[in-house]
Amino acid sequence: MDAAMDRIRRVTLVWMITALVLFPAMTLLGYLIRRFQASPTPAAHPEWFYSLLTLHALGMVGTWFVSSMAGVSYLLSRYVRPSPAVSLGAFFGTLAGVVLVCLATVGGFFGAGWYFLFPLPLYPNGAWPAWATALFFGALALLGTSWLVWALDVLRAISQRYSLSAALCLHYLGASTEPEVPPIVLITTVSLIVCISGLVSAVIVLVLFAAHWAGWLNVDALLMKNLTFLFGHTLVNISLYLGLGIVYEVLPGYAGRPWKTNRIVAMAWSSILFLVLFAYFHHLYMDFAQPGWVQTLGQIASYFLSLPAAAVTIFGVLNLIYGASMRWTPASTLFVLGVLGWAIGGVAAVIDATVAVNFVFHNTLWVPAHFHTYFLAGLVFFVLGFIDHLGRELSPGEEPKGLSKFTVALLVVGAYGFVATFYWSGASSVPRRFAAYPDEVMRGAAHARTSLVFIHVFLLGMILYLWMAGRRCVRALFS
Amino acid sequence: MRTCVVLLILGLPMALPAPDSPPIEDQYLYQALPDVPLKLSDGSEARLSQLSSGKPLLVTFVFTRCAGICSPLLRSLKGAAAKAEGGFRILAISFDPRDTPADLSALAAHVGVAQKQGWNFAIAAPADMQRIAKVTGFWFQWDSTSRQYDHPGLVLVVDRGRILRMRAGGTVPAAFLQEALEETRGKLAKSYPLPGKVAFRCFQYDPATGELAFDWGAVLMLLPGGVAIVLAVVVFRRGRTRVRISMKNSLMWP
Repeated sequence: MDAAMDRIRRVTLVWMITALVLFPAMTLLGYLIRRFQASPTPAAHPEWFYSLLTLHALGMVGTWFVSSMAGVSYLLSRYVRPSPAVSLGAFFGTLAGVVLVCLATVGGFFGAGWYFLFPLPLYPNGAWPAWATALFFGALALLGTSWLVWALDVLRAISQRYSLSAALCLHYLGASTEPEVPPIVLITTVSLIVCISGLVSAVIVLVLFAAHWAGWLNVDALLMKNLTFLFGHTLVNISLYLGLGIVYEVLPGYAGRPWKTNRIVAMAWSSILFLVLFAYFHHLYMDFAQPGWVQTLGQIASYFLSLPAAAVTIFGVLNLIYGASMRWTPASTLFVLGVLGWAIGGVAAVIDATVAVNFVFHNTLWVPAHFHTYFLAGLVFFVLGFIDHLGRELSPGEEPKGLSKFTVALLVVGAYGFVATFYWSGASSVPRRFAAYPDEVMRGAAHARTSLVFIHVFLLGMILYLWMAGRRCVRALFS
Repeated sequence: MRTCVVLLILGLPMALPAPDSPPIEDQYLYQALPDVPLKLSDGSEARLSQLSSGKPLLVTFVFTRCAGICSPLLRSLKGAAAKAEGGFRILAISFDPRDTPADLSALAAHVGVAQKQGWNFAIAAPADMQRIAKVTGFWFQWDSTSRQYDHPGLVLVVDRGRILRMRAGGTVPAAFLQEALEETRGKLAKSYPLPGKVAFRCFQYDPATGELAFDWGAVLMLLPGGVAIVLAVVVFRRGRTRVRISMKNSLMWP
């Protein structure tokens, strides 16, 4: 192993160990949030609920974005050379950003949500001080800058080997399959171009926020919401795609078969580049100032954004494992289960992206249900699978098979049980973002209490996972 | 504090809003008007809730000795009301303790609405006027030099006792009034201008046609995608010039 590869390996391990610290911490915050909602009486400080919700959501989105980024960067180093220094710089930028977000939310009770919709952060009505808003925006600027530089560097690395059209596999759309491009290169290129558009959107939002705050101009709330969701939606979307990039690259090793790019894979993934710019409109179905044709465009783009990539990926996974002599380890099991969770969450998302349905579901817990499904039972499984794979690759050793199976089972039962309570609440019209439920929807408190049981199960699974995969990563880092 | 923080962040000067600027609609929407007793210009008495029950109520604030905005505003309101469809009432409340019912009748006649149905002129007690001012953002201050009250022109659209819309300024466009009245009937107003200069609106709404037209904000929505594609092209063009260095046939990097 050369020195450059060793640096990439170590930086990746640092990222993954950090993710394994942040994830349980953010899960505990999620537990506290559901504890608030589980209480039959309003909590003494309901404003804490919103600051915890903000930290939990931004923490989770950030953790899984950087983890999947670090994962694909490591795997891409088989073909190209992303800079470990830039990755390390992004790591420190992210750490500083996390500290600022913690100060803003836990210290300052900033509670405008991770999507910080205009103009709420500027009009807290005494719920949090102005410095907390400033810190939160400072954190976003820091995180955004670090991630933008990181994304550009990974694209730079890809560009040293592939032309843009080759990296987007446009030649596959014709008859040519040369040069051969691994799916991870295609998925990463598409995802990072989309990622840049989201981060640029965040920059515009922050500048407009600052200008409005300073009293220089009045800002169009509709524009701010569009830009905010162009940022937020794409960040979540591409985190999932990067996670899938990991699956495309690693799972074939466990199946003993290649998973190659072909015309359909190229078509499905490259179309995302265009569609993702319009899919986020489904977050604005309740904004009646948005013209009807924009909402229709959002619905169509949402369908076409998720269906081709999902269909191609699910078919690809089934094709890969059918009849193969699979090596079923926690990694490969989590990858396959993750694709299942992504597909289930994706179906729920497509349902919610239908205008007529969204009018009913939008403000219910159905929404957290679907995004927790594809995050917790999808992306989290992808990254946990990758960490297990990485740990075994760099620090070989076996645990008792029964323990591995039991750990995965706990994670699966915990995750699906937890999201099921959200779906249950959503179907029962329990509203989301309520710190405490009024009598009319007090059933939401019972659902929240049920969810606590499954969070305990999931956390138990995480403890076992940390004991196995986490220990292995730490061992590999210091070896 | 917020301003200072932004200044610290940006290190730039800023323009403070004028202390006597008109109220901003966003801050007073859905406020409930206090149900104060009013003395009407015909000498009778009524409560505010009586005037706002059953129909939308347009409320404005005037004083009869006003040499400035009051009469033009009332005339503008009269013009807009003549074009508006649907039932509604209009109430002009005097905030000048010197005004009498006779003064208000004279003002109504001067503006040409004395005989118009649905128009009411009334006096509120000073303490009640302060309560109204608190929930509407309306303000007035005596200027001893001009011997006039300084005050903004303001029209409130009140539905079931709550402020549904608010318009500050000396005129009431018919389109605004029609749109606001439609909103009281449960029709969603697609879009309307915010006070002051609004930067980069996504769409401009034409109340006359009900159509939305693109504005510069819509271009701004496409900007991130455009920037991302340009950046990708630049990165890949630069990369391709360096590439030829060590390209090999094998899929794996050497």
